Amino acid sequence: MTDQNELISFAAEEIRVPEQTQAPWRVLVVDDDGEVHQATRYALEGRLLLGRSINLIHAYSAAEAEELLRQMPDIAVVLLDVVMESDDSGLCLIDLIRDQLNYRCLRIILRTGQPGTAPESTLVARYDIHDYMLKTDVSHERLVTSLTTAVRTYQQLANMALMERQLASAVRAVDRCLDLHQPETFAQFYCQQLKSIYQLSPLMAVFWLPGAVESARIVAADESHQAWLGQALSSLSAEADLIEYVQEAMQSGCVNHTDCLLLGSAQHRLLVLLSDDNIADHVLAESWQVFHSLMGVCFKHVC
Amino acid sequence: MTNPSRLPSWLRWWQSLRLRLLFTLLTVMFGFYIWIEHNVASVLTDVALEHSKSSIHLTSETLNLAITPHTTLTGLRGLDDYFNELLKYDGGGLVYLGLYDEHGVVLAGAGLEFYNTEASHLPLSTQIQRGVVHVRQPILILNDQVGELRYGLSLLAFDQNIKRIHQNNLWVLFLAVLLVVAALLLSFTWVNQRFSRLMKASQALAKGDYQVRAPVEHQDELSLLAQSFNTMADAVATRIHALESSQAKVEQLNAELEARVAERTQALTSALRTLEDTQQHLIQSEKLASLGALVAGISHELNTPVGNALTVVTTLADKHRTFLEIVNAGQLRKSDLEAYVASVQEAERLASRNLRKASDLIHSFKQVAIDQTSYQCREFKLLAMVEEVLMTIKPMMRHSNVTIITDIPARLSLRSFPGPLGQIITNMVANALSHAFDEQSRLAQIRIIAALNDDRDWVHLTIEDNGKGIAPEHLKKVFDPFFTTRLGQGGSGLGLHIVHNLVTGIMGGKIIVESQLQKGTRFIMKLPVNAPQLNHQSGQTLL
Repeated sequence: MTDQNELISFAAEEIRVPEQTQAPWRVLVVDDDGEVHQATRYALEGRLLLGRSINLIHAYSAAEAEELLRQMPDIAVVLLDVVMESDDSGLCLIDLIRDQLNYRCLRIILRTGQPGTAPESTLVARYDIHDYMLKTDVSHERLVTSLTTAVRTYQQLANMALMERQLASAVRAVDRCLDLHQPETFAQFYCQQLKSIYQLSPLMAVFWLPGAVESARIVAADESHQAWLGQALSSLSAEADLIEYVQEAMQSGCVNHTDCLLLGSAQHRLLVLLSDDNIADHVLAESWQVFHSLMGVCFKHVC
Repeated sequence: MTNPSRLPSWLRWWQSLRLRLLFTLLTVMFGFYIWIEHNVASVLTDVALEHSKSSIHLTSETLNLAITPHTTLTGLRGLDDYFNELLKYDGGGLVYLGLYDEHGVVLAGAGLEFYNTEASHLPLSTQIQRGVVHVRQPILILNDQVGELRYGLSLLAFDQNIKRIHQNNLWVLFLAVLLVVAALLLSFTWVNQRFSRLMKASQALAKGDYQVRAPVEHQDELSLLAQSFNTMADAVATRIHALESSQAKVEQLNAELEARVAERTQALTSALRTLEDTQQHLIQSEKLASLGALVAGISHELNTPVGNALTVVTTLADKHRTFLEIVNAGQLRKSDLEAYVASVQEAERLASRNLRKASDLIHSFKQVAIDQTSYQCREFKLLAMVEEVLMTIKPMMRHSNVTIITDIPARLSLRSFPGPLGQIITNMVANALSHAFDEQSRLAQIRIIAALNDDRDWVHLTIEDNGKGIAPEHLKKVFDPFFTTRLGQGGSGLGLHIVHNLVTGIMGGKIIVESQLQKGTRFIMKLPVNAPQLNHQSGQTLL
């Protein structure tokens, strides 16, 4: 047993570096009662949801909430009161979010103080809401649990929506590739697609024939490397590091590098260098696989 | 019963038809008589003239012949005797007789005292009227002298005849008058009988004996009248019959109608009673409903602070658990402790603030609920009571941009019924909130003002808004039950009716309303500072 009078000795303070790099979840609290905002802020302060912190945004009326929602389309969850300006202003806001703003991924958690005005089953059937809770039931655990499942669902829905967009873009890109016949035009188009669909930043693309590394030439380049466009790789004597890196990547087939992409057939090869360090940060595995293999097929068709 | 043969009192005797007829007949007869008399008189005068002329002529011839032989001197003396003889002989009608010479000296004469010189110069007709005709006849006397024979002829006999004629005429007239009067009286009696029979019939008819018929006697105008009377009686009988039958129908209809009216009246009365009952029920349930709304509003108001406190306390529990884990692991850092202490402090602050709010709400609700469920008379401060009531209607207020301003002296206290007064204020504020303002209303205000009068026995409580006002045609009806401009939109039309009932009833006060369009509405109540005692029979409890 420890002595009752023993002084507590504190552990040493560490300098905690925030490990988290991902953007915080944006959670909009809509309620006309200031105390609700304070209590919510207190409950969620410093809390992480699926490893990401929470960015609370406060709105004191449905109108204010609408304005904030228009400004921030990336809000993940709305904690919504039903009775504000009118008896159903919260429910009207749901319709606005789903039908007018067309935010499908955003999760809505209803918090009401008046169970009588809005029966739970009817509400859940009628409106696309994630959860329904009475204000008197909002314990810390209930709030955190509900928010956690909400952000997870939001994340999944957002990913699915993104993938859907990417796949559609990929299919369109294939369509347009069929008209291309030069390695240069294809490479430029490919870089463009990487940029627009996956927000990657290609630095340049190098084209060569297998077994003839000396034939490698730069067929596409970003704005800062426009001068190199069309030049043979070997002619860039001033960039020894670059040449070495590219040659290494060409030989290894780009397997050990996370900042380059390789398309290739038996006769032709195309290497794209990216400015970003990690492709995985930007792409979703499923859609990226599909896009990459489609582009490979296109490349074969072009050359 | 009036005798038909006697004249009714309103008929004057001179107006009688019989008298008039009689009078007319008599007049005509007298006219005739006078006319005949006149004719007879003139004819008789002519006859007298002719008669006297011929008499004069005859007498003159006779005298001339008789006298001529005696116109000698001696002979003249004997003439007097002769003349006297002539005069004595009555048949000639001579009154006097005289012979005059050419100088007018009487030669012989008899009865000359009857001679009248003046009369002899009058016209013949006049002399006839006077009964004596004076004649002067020239006559040849001795020595071829021309004398004059003067004599008077009396017409007395003729006159007597004339008088007899007139007398006879008068007799005839008298008889005729008698006859006429008798005939008229007779016929009048006869006609009168027939008339009275007709009158009897008509009076019987008038009395309602429609079967009576006038006897049709003889073939004259009266029988025609009787026939036409009978025709009329037939028609009257037919009409009366028709009338009676239709009257009977009408009476039957009337009776049915009355029965139906009575039936309907009863139905209406019972419907009215039901309606009144229903109205009372509705008023009662409206009161309960407002209490229900109060409870709902209060529970919503309560849920929020209680929920907030729950969130805060459960969060604190979570933080406390984490803190304990750190402590138990011996990993407690000073910063952890500081953060925990700050967190506890904030939790205490948040939770107690919310719980205080809930507690206040419960307190005011409790008072209002007690007041409103039992009409209890107690002494209370008006301002505090109004503020409690306003707190309970905050749920109504928070969805509007209306501010309520109270201007009530803090020390003003009443001995009255806080429950009903609270309901009055609640209903009026609710009424103003739902009717006075629209979305565009700026600086919407409801003011509750109270002040004592100079004698400190009445309080003037004014509740006014600066909203749209009430249309003049609606203003009269605002206190009527079921009057609402929001039928089907949640308005029951009972809110202000209940206010009126409570103010004029249990509170023993008065209420008036004044309003100006686009300016606002003002309800002014005059309430006694000491409310009238509630007698126990009418003392009601709401729940």
